[in-house]
Amino acid sequence: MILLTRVDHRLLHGQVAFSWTQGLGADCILIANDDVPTNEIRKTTIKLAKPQGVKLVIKNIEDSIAALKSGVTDKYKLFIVVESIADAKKLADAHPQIQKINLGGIKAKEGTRSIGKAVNVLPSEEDLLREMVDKGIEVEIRQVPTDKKVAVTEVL
Amino acid sequence: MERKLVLASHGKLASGIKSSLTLICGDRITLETLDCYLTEGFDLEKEVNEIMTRYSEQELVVVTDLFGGSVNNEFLAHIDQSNFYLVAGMNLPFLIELSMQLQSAESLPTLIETTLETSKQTIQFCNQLLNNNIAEEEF
Repeated sequence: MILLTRVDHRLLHGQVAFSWTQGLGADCILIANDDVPTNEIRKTTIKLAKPQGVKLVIKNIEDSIAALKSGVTDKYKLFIVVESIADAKKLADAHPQIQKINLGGIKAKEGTRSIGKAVNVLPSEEDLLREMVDKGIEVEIRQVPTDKKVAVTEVL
Repeated sequence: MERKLVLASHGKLASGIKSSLTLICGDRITLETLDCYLTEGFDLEKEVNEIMTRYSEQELVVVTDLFGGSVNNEFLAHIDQSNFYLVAGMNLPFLIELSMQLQSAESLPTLIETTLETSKQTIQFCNQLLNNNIAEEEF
């Protein structure tokens, strides 16, 4: 079962590793990212941030989709973390069981606007968010599980 | 029975670690802090007695900074009070896990035991760790 898919440019770090995994009651974390599997330093850092007693799987986007579709992930209470809205959209398009997306952290860069605490999006990303919302996916902004959910529809 | 968490330290470690904890876990985590010896007239015995009296009807966890230190020793004098649990060696990983599960855990002593075990493993010499290859996991 997929509990939540979180967009966070830092991927797995203190906040995500501890408060989200525990807050959700997840027993498996999937880091779906095209860079990390081949970036040794980034991969090691993420592995070190893994909370005790939770399985951590790191795969590129294509392999992540294949794993989700194959059913091998069904037995887990799965928490997926991606780096960008585009990656979240790719997963959600390929695997309709992804019904909840949390926006946790997206760095500000040229052309972005802030739509919530630590969440900055480009106009093209706003389009992707709208497409996901239109498909019935719950997209919300929250730093930590105990924060109040802000529906992305309120800020688009 | 309601559960209370109190952090007590020499100086500002207790309030400082609360600030870190809130940043990571959100501000709905309720806990009380006792920063000791910051004023000339600070009376440790009085402060500790007040806390112990205030929470005598609740399940109380006190986490202090230093085993063998005066703050911990003062609380240790109350160790026979029922539903009172004292932990020395305050650290952030322990408090994150403890505070997240404080209200939901079935048994407080069991929660404290397991949380201590896991948090001990998060104290690491990173240089050495990076030399070991960490196994890849699969579904």
